[in-house]
Amino acid sequence: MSTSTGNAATLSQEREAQALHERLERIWRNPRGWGALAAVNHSTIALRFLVTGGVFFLIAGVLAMLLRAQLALPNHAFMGAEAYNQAFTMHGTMMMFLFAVPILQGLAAYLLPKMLGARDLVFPRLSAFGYWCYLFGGLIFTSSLLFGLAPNAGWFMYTPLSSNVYSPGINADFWLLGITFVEISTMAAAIEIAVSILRTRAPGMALHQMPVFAWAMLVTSMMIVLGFPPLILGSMLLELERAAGWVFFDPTRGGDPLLWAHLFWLFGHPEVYIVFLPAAGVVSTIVPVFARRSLVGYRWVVVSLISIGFISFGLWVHHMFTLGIPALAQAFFSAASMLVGIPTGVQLFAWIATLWTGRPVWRAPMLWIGAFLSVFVAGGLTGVMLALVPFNWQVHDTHFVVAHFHYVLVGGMLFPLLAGIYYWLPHFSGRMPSERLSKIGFWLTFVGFNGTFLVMHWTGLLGMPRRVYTYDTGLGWDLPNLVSSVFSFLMAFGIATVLLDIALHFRFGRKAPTNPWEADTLEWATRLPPASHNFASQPAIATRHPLWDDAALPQSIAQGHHALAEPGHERRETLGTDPVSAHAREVILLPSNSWLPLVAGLLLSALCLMLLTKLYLPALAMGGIAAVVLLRWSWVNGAHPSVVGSGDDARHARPAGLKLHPFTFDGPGLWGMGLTMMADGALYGSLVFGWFFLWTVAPQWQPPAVSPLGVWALPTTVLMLGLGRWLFRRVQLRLRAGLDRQLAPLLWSAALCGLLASALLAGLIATAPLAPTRSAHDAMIAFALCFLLFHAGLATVLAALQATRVQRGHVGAHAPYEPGVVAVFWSFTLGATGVGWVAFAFVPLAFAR
Amino acid sequence: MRLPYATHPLQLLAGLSVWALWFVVVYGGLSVACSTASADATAQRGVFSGISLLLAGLTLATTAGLAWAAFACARAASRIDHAAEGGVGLFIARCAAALHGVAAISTLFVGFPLLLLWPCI
Repeated sequence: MSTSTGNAATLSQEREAQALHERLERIWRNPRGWGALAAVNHSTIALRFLVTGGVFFLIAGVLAMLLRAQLALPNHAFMGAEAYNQAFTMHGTMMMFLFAVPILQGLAAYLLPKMLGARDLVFPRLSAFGYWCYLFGGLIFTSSLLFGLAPNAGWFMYTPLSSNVYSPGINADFWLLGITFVEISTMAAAIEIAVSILRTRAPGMALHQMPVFAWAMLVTSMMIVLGFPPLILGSMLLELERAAGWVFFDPTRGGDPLLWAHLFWLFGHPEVYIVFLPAAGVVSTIVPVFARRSLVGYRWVVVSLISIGFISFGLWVHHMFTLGIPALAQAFFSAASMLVGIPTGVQLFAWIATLWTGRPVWRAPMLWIGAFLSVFVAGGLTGVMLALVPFNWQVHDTHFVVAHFHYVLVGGMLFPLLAGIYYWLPHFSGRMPSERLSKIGFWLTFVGFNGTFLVMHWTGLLGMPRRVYTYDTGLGWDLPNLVSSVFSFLMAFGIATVLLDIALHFRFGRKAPTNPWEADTLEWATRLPPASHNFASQPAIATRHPLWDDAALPQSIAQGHHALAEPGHERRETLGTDPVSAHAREVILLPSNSWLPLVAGLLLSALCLMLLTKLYLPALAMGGIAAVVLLRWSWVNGAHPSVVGSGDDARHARPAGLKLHPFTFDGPGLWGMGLTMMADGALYGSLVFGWFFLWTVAPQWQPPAVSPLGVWALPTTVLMLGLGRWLFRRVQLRLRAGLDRQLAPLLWSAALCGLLASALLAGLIATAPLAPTRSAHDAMIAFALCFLLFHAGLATVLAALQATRVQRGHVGAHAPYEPGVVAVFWSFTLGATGVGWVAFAFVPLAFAR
Repeated sequence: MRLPYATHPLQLLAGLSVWALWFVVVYGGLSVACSTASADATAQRGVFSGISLLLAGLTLATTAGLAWAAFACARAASRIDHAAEGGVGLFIARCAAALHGVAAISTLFVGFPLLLLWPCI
């Protein structure tokens, strides 16, 4: 009798869980058919990132095979010099920009909400928009191969080789425009991931309970926010130099090619850690699971991640040791380059100690972890060798360097990624990988990799330069090159076997049970594959190992025993929590499926193609249309009825006491705007750095005796923007006091201030005696003025939109959120204009030489 | 003297931000100073040139400040009541102590060549 009652109760619970699941699915599911293109769900978008990244990896891998086929024999005529130049440029660029970063961000976008106990990332439409930019930008860039017009100046596009004097045609433009377009995606994903980690963790998941993977992605995302803008700026400047003749890198007219090298490597070296840290997070997640114990030294691993995040920005000049930098300055960078090995070593010891003191189980993912440990340590050691300036001079631009960075990047990124893909495969398919085929794929890849690149160290030490399409026999390079080429094809067979294994497992893999690896982290509390809403209810988490401490958590989540289990409306919601303590603060409202991201992505693709084909007037029109679509996107936001719904339910979120975020003063948009302004600041800071760099270093830098900016225009602009920012402050104070009166007039007044500031800047650009095609001095100032005009113009439009939203009732004392977000943008615009006045007008007057 | 706000999350960024600022000042300062100073005069004085002494002094002062901050965070951590506070404050204070220590060591190590190499060569 009691057994029968128990079974009935269980059955009833299962039915209730299924009913809850179906109610949530109606709200969260993707559209079918063509409508799937409007999907914004993080799992869907992230899987698209993973698959697209995999395709670009295969294309770049085929290019690598072509390179190795060419180098297999001396004086080989398989490829000509031009084809070889295009192949190595595309291989490096695609691997770094179209594979490594996007696929890791895709993995993070898939996993993080599930690991953190959330239902989605905080900006779902931005996720989708980022994906379309990535896909279309990648396709535009890759299509250059089909036309025989691929970039051919190396993945770091050094000037003057990449200038239109030495690289005529549109090959380099494909790189500059295509990659900058793709970087929109990288920046968008970084900002979204950082805000999601800070603001949507499960209640109780304070900083010290956060999974290490989340720490790694938080640090990585902040590095992207600060590290990518110098390259975006450099690409804009170089494209302007190539397309419009403005001078930035031409030393005969006051520019300096070293500025490009600095801007590129200011991005380029942190980039190495940008792809390593997520991989390190994967390793820190997997090792404890298979060692059957918690990670040794969690706190030290976190300290190491943060340390690497900072120190990796102090190494960029070690790529420039042969470019003529003073010895003492080189020594600073040499020391910093050695120093960064220490926090990396701390993590390695933490992983080894975890394995040593645990009871390791060697399953498919652990093979790749073992390969990572051995190969990455070897790559790190040659990295320390390269940090020594005299040794660096000896092997600079040889195959030794190629071997080193493949040990670091393949060992430090590809192997952990494959470990992660094997580990999370049940998530994607609901099935387990094959242990036998996975071992064959692993050993072919591992042996092939070492056969290729271990030998390549020797080739480099024998003096073979990189980026040379052929070589004479008798130099001692014949045998090592042949060995490298043969083993590279072995590695290719290994990767093919891995792909075959993954493909077959979708059909033949054993069904995965709940939590198949007996893991500790929350992503294994979902269904396999997960539902589109991840969790039927959102649990409170007060431990680093939620599934080890409560094995019944998946069931209680599915049965709706935790928060937000009553979707009595059609809104997508997730809990918003405090960034430090993770106390629940509000309910974050998430937008549903939308065509806007795809339309915006298509319009920007068209803009990119028009710039590439030098159709500048149509490009201007297309930019205007894209701006209208993006502003429409911003309109259907916040407390807009189509987002929050209508009636009483719109203003009262569950659980009791928590408001929907548009009805608070805080929300993910505020944090997103803050991080966007950090990125914007990094770009503008790079411009100011470039200005002072050229002023100090460029041999033909010739400032005029009198500043072309005049005396009053810039300070008056600062005054106007300051007044507008003050008016925003008045609006914020009124909203804090719960007052609705005079909000619209104040915001319209702010818009008027922005308009006057924009007019002043436009007038300055039109009337200042600037000749950007003749002098780098004038080109830098003209670019800075355009930057400021863009910001002042946008600040004006945003203020006007806020005023209109107040008049339409979307913003007010009941919904006070948005003016605070726009105020952050105004603050940045004001600060940038003030800095511009000081840097471009005041300092040159004070220190005229 | 006690460090205020040892458990503030910005402490996780403060130490290495100071290191980054020091790095920019030393590298940028060296470049600017060398662009204006007479190379011959600087070379004659070697590591005892004004540029080197100024930058070395800045390095030592920065290291001392960071070491003090590391010590202060560690001391604050030792006074935190783990049970009452829930653990996150203690975690931040301890991490901050380590990160300030990392920043102090990094400053000293990266600045060490100032004692060995002549500037502007």
